[in-house]
Amino acid sequence: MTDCERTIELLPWYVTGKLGVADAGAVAAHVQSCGACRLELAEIVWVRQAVGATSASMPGVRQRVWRRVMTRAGFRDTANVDIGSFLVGFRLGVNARRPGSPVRASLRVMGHNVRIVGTQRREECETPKDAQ
Amino acid sequence: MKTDEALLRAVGRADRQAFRELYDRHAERVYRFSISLVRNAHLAEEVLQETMLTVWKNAASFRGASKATTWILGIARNQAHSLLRREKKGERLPEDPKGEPDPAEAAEIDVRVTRALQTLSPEQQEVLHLVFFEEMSLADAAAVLGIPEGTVKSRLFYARKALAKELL
Repeated sequence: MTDCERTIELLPWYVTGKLGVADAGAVAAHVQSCGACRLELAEIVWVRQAVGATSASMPGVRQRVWRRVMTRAGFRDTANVDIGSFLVGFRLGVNARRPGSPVRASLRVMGHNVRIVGTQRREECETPKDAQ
Repeated sequence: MKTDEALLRAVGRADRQAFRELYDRHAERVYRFSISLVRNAHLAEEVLQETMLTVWKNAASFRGASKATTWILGIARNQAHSLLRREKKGERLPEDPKGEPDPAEAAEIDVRVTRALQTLSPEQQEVLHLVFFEEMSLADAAAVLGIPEGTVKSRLFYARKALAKELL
């Protein structure tokens, strides 16, 4: 294997800083004296930037994925209770989940929401704020 | 703060708190890796979901021979490839149940680069993502992909050449 071939193989990890000191030193020395490998280096830097920018601009994970994982993993028989005042009103929220039967109870006096018990979709049973 | 490996051991003992923490640490990474393979936000969510369920079920079998990240991304890779195989066979794949707009389409992604990446094979896309976005070492990338280090080098070489050809 020639110096150029060895350098080109290692260049991606040289660019990301993942080479050991000896390998990084050898690559740096070779690139300094080799125009062809400098072009390879420039191309790799550019490709890395393009891939990085594209991956970084992807949307984040939505909360519903965790809820689905939780449901399918069999996390159940949990309960959340949310009691407190909301500005001028009073709020009481109970959110209990049993196998196959999500249940919700809520009371909000000044805000007029007085449903005490009700069922809701499993996905909506996760957080205390859902129980408002 | 617990290490990933300690969390995995706790998950192996069915510790839900540890599982939530592990999920919070790795969900984004698994999702981005998956989307680089399946190129669809909803399918990537499916891959993430199946990956984390597999982690939950199999954490007890994690022996610490590899890094937790490597182990988890290896599972994600298997799930993504399994999904792509099903897609090739023409099996129905999960759809967005609420009909929400695809966030991948809404995000300001460099369309030109995205299209160029789509011309690459999944194997080429995953090696580009692991090395240039995750900034994995050669050994870790080889462990996730389940291939020799020499194959990682050559696959990466052809992947970046193909991408450069599309874009330059």
